[in-house]
Amino acid sequence: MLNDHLEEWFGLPVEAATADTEFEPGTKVYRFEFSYDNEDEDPRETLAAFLDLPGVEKTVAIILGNADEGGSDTTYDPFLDLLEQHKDRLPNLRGLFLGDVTQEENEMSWIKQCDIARALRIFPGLEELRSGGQDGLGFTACRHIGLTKLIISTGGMPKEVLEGIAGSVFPELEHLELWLGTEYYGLTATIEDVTALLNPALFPKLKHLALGNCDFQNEIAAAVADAPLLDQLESLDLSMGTMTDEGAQPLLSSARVKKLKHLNLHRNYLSVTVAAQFQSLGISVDVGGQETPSTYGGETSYYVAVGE
Amino acid sequence: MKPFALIANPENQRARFFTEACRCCGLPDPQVLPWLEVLRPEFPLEEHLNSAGALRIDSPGQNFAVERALIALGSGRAADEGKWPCLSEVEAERLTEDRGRVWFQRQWYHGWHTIMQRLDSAIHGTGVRSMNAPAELSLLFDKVTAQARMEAAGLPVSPGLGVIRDFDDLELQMNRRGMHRVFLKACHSSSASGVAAITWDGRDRWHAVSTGLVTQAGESLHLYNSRRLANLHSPEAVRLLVNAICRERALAERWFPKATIASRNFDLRILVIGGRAAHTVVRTSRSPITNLHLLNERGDLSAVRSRLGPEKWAEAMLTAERASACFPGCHHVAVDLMVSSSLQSFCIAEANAFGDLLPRVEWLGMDTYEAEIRAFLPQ
Repeated sequence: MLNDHLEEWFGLPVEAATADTEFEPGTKVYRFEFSYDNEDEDPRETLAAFLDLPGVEKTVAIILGNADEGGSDTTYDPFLDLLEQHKDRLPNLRGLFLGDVTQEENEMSWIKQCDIARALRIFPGLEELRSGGQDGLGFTACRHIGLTKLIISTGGMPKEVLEGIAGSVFPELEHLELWLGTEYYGLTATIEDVTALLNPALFPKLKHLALGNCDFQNEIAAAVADAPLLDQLESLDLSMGTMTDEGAQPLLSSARVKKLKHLNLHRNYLSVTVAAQFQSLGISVDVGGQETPSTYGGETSYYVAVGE
Repeated sequence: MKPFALIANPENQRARFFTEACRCCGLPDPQVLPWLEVLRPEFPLEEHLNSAGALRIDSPGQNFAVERALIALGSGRAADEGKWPCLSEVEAERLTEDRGRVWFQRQWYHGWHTIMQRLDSAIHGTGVRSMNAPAELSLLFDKVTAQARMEAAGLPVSPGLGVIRDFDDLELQMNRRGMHRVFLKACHSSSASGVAAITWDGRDRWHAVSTGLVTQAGESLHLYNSRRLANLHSPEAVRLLVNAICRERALAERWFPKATIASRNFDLRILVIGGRAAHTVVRTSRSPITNLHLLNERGDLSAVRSRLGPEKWAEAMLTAERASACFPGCHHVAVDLMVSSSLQSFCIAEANAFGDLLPRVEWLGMDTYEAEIRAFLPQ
């Protein structure tokens, strides 16, 4: 997550698109982005040209990368406008990624986002929606019967987005991945908003849940540890956050956690001892990459993996 | 062959590595001419060069007495220029070490340039064959002219904003060019000293990641190198940092977004020897600054190579070779080459005069110094 471009999607290799690209819509996935290599090219024009190509119907997925040189004002709305105008030419579109931007390209918190649920309204056949970045991020509640995977990466999750998801109907959703971030970069969602998502009736087919990169990772651990939702999950991911030994205790003592196939607690603040306790739970766990808190002026600080 | 004369800091591992490399090549041990001696006006340079088989000039770095002597040597030109912090010769000679401090780099450069001129005339006077031409060693320690030379040769370098006076100037230049992400680099420093990766949202948000730590001592700012990167989020902190770096004469250029591998940013350090790309190291980091001395890790070369594919890989090597050709008087140049995040293009971050200290990296079974000697010796 977060630092690499998606390199492969739906079994197809991803390639950055330029005005000179010779497109092969059915065999590659293209990422449309502002390019430092060709500054004068507008990625919207490249996308528009792509959408007019013969054979564009074969397109399986589209990735939108850095919309402009970091810090400016382009959101993904004008791209979605284009996609909406051409939606009949994309009958096989299964995946859409808004904001595949690495930290080398822009700050997570500065990526200009939009109401990403709009993509679901445009494409009823979509299976997978991903987004990165949070400036202006919204999610209007909606009903979508095809969506199986939803991934929203932020350095600070707006409350409205979790409310929108909780108010949505996604009967086929199997994979929900939410990177919540820190209050310093726009996290306004609370533990109550997160808890609302743990209702098993909400997404009956959910198999994988990630609630990570969070300032209140301990509270999430406590809320999730004995949630009935766990009984239907195969894997739980609470990585990249600020979980401490103490915060991890409810997970260690939960009978439900022991029934998971995989538990990911990568890059939190667990001690070697507690990490080892997880490793002896008898399920597959990832407890690598643990951090140690920084102390400054007598204050101990815990940071999420990605805020800014 | 008569022994090499090696100008170096004798206590530095570079001197030892070169001695070992000479032995590997069946040469006598080099005659080490310590920088501190060479910098003394009465040092009989010509005499030593006359008795040498060839000359190698190595880094003067990591020795405070040498740094101080170079700063002292630059006092005249620095005073004439009058634009950057400077000390008189006497004041410079009284400097005491303040570990990690970045200071008087412009004056240091004047000293470096002066000694390079002296070496140049000694080389011409004696006719000794030198591995590296002093005029180009001087040029390689001025990022402004080195970048300009590569750009003029049609090589990909990042568009620059030129020398930046201070934070206000930086903001003005970035605004004028609509450039929101830049690297600020001290012009005369080596490795990652005095480097900051700076982003601005065009309004009031600033973020900087830097190898420099600023402390305020009364009215003045002190800049230190730090192995732990500073992460600054407030406009005030970024302002202090930029002002401190700019005192050393610094240039800004557009932040070229680097490709990643295994969730780490990377670039390539390619040592070009005798015009041919040789030892290559993948430098990786989670931060935007990839220099290896910052406790960053070497990356997986074969993984990068396969990511790029044979054509792009060949283009990378060729780009490095063309960059080194801009400095024909240098038998070897280490080129730092960035790959764009789209994997489509390359950009030269820097050409380094002394970037060949790459212990344990081999090319055709040779370490860097041995390969340099073998390629230099008459066949």
